[in-house]
Amino acid sequence: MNGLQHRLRKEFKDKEYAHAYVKEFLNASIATQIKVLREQRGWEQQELASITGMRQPRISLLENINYSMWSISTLQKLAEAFDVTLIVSFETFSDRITDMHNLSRESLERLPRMDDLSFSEEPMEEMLASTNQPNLRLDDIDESIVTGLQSTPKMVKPTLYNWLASLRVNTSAYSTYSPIAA
Amino acid sequence: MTWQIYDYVNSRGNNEIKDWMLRLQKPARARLNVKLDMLEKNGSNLSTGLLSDTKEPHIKKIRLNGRVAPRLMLCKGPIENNKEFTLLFGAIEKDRKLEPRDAENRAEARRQEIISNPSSGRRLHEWVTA
Repeated sequence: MNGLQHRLRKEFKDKEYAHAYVKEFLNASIATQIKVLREQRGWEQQELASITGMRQPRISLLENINYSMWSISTLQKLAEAFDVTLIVSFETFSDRITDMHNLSRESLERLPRMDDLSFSEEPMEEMLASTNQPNLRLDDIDESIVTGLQSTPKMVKPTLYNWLASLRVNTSAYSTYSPIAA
Repeated sequence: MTWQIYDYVNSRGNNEIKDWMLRLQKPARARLNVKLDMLEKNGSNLSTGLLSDTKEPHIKKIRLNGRVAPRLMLCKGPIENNKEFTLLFGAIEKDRKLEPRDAENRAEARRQEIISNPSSGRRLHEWVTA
């Protein structure tokens, strides 16, 4: 646990302080994520305004961390423009501490729907490539290949690891590496 | 990249930023700390509105909304401009007027003071919490 996380855990023992902090952080993180998602897509504020049917000054206002009058319908409109999902849920204070600890441009970026969904097929292709049987197609995969993969400890991307786990493959022989660190 | 945050310290060695933050109400202190945490973690470019301009070119301010609203004057650097921020002067804004009125000038004067005496004019930020 680093200094920030330790300090926040201590501060959040005070209810009034904790709620004031997370409320401000919520406003700031929504506004920042709108800006980050727009920039990730290479859009100017005017482009986002056109897609959402809002005016550019309104987008500018929504991207300012001092804004606090959020409505779910506006956020849904933005989610559709960015082609991502909106989740509104009640969370614990320790989740917020983690969010603040991880806050960065990368932590706020989200892939649009099609890039996100096509990504889910990559682990399979990567897996086929790693079998040294380049002529195999997705349809050819069978249990023997999976079993073969299990026999050799491998460093694999987290996406592949998760995919194997979703097939109920024994993943104990695998460990993940971070693509960023690699 | 993490940024270093410093507090202005007067000639008697008092941390004036800490003293000012102690006088704020608890919710305001919490809200201000969110912005200082964001500044420390990502600098001022990730989030729009984290720092606002003042009439002094080197002085920025962190603002909180409200009828009586804290305004914390600060500057980038002034010693290492790509690594640090220095908190210089705490004020409030009431009915769109700064109290004290010359808060921005006084922040600039303190910035000059730190430039001429970096070793004793400031110290690492002391977090004032709940």
